[in-house]
Amino acid sequence: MLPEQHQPLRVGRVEPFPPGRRLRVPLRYHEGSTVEPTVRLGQSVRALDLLARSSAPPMSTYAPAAGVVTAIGRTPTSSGHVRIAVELAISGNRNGSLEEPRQPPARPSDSHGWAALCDNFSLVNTIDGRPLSSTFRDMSGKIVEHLIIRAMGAEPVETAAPAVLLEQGTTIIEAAELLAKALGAGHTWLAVGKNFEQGRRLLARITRGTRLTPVVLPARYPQANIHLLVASVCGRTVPVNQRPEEHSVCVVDTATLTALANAALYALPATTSTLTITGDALARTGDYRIPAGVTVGEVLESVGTTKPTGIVVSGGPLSGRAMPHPDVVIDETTTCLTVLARRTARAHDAQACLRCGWCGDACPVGLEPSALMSLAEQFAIDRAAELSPDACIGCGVCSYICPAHLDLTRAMLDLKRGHLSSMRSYA
Amino acid sequence: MSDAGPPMLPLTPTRWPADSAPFLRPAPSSGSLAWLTSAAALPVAAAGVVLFGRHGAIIMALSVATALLTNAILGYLTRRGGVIGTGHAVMTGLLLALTLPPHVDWGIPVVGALIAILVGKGLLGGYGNYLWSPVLVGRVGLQVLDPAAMLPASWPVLGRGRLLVGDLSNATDSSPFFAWRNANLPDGVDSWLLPRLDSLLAGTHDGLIHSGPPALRGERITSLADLLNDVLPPWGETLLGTVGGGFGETCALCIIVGGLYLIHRGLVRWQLPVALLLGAAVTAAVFPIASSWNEQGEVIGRMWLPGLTLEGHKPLGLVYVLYHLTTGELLLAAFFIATDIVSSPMRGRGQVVFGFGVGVLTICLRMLGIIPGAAYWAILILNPFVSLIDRLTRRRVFGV
Repeated sequence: MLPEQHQPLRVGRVEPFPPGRRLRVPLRYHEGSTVEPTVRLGQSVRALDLLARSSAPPMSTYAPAAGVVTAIGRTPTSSGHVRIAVELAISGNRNGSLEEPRQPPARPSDSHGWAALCDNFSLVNTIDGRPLSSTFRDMSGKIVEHLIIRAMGAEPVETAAPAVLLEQGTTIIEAAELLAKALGAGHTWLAVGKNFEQGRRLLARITRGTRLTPVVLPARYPQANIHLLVASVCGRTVPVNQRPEEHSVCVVDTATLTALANAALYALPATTSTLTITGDALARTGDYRIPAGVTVGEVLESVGTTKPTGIVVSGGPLSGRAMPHPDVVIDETTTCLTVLARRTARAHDAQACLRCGWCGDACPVGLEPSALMSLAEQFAIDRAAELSPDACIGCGVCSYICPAHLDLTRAMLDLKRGHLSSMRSYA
Repeated sequence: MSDAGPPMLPLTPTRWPADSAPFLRPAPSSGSLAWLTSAAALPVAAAGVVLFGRHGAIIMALSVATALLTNAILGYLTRRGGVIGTGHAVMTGLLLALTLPPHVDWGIPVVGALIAILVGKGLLGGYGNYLWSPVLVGRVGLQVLDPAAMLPASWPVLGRGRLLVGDLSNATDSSPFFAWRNANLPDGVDSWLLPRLDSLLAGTHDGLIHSGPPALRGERITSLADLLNDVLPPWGETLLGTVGGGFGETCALCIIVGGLYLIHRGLVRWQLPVALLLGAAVTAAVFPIASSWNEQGEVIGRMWLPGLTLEGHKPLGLVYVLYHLTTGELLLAAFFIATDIVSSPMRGRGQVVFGFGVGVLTICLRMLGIIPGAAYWAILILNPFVSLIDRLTRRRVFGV
């Protein structure tokens, strides 16, 4: 693992990010179901109007701002999927029905009711990208022993989750109690990094008298990884190819909780997400609340770059995904956008493995990346399976630390997915 | 998710470069690791020049130059010039020179570096794949080719007032041996011929001194107190290095400083040198020494656990163990040679096993007097077991 970060995490306000001229709103649906827009081309919509509803289980998508539907088509999104999106030309009146008073929905009595409420307000668990209702459906009739709320960024540069905690602490506590009650959770934990001093002070104050237990974890990447987080918080080992729900544990982050609070208390559907915009090529960095449907290119245009852009990453620089072009839509599961200057992201010459063993020392799940890489190069998939490459969490620490600059992470993920091609070389 | 459905929305023609995470690679390159090791060995080399004169600097320069030249030719012939590593050649040349006797001819470092790079690095797999440390391959090659030059009975040390400027070529025997430090050098002579301390320590096993000036050879060591009080120089001398030994082997203080720097920079895990010294200390404390003789002078009784010997309230056995740790090639091997990145185990736990094994084997080889340069041989013997050690010391994988 990387050394612990001792510098305090600096977190500012979550800034609003006004929609530009156009939004390509990706439609939300459960895996395996189909989705049809409920709007026509040329139709005017107000903010929070329904844009689409998927087949069973029905999940809704709403307009983040008022505008006119100019196109319906597929678009690549920042998590690597291609999704159907409704393109809106944003009109002058950006608020629309936001100003209208809304009736809070009735409080559901069982997990099916909660699942329907989550789908109706298009709530998504940002941590795993699945609709929040899946958690209720998975856990229906089962005991949730631990509910863990993550107020840590997946990577050191990500500050969105801590920023949301700082800004809406009491709302999050309220929503956490609501969710814990709805799931019937035995223990509720709120995890923050040791270097998030502002958050630790706030937590000590606002969790007093509640059923939430604050947990302070080492600020060491990849501590916030869902599997390592569960192991650290409640001592339960969830194998990497399984979900915490299968082990009676549920993990959500602070942004998901604010969305839940908005839905359950104020009947506001989720049409925005909180995004950390960071990187050494940018003029302004920070946390932004962006409407659904903003593209990567629009973000870059809005915050402005100061250096030639080398690589644009959805996620952090250690485990993120390179964006292929500016028209990729930032979807609701993306919590960070990193823009690296050309000099920073330059390629390094790879050399032969030295057997220094740093990768194995650094691997947070105890794998041997160098041995796995050489097996991947020899196509020895059976022998590689003995070293359990399935346990790789893709954190990127092995490649980061490798003095020979080998692509160990890529080799491990290829082995994990079973994609080996004869053209592959990791050097 | 779904691929079917309406057509793609129009996309701009701009394309960004594709790559896979991580996008930051701040780690030092493999070449710089070797440069750092060379830098850490510089204090040791400097101490060698001070203790053994300018001749040492020439040996080092020859060794490094030959290593670089051989490396360049090898790189040209195998068309992997950039990959093979200049830093590693410098490191190999430098470390090889540090293991050599201080008064060797200029041909020795040249041949040694040639063997180290050509055989140790080139033929035995290349940087990253070799089984044995090229430094040791070079040294062992020399020991086989020219045993007389590599394993002299007496080793020259510059006398009082002649450090740095003196000449080793006209050394003289000191008589009595242990008074050399206070004795005045004869005119025109700069250095004394002394035995290696590790061979004196090894003499305790059969109670005889085997090396050193002729006057000393065959002398009987009747007890530990006899050895420690009358034969060996004060222990502090072994820290400073004013004793007989290889060019970079004697100055324990400089070796420890360089080694701590390597540990601080993360190039060496602390487990290996610590386990090696622990293994050596335990073995030295346990290994039996001669305690009684018959009339013909044959050893008839041996005492186990010499490390527990007390003389009054003085822990004599402990001092004996400390001498074992700071004399001979043990420290240089512990911090600079056994820790070679390529030929040592990959895990900290494996390094504990390997280091402990090297420590135990070194003292056994030293005490039995089987072969000089015990620590080097111990490393060479255990290097082939490194992959086995790696396999046996794997970490438990999370969730499996």
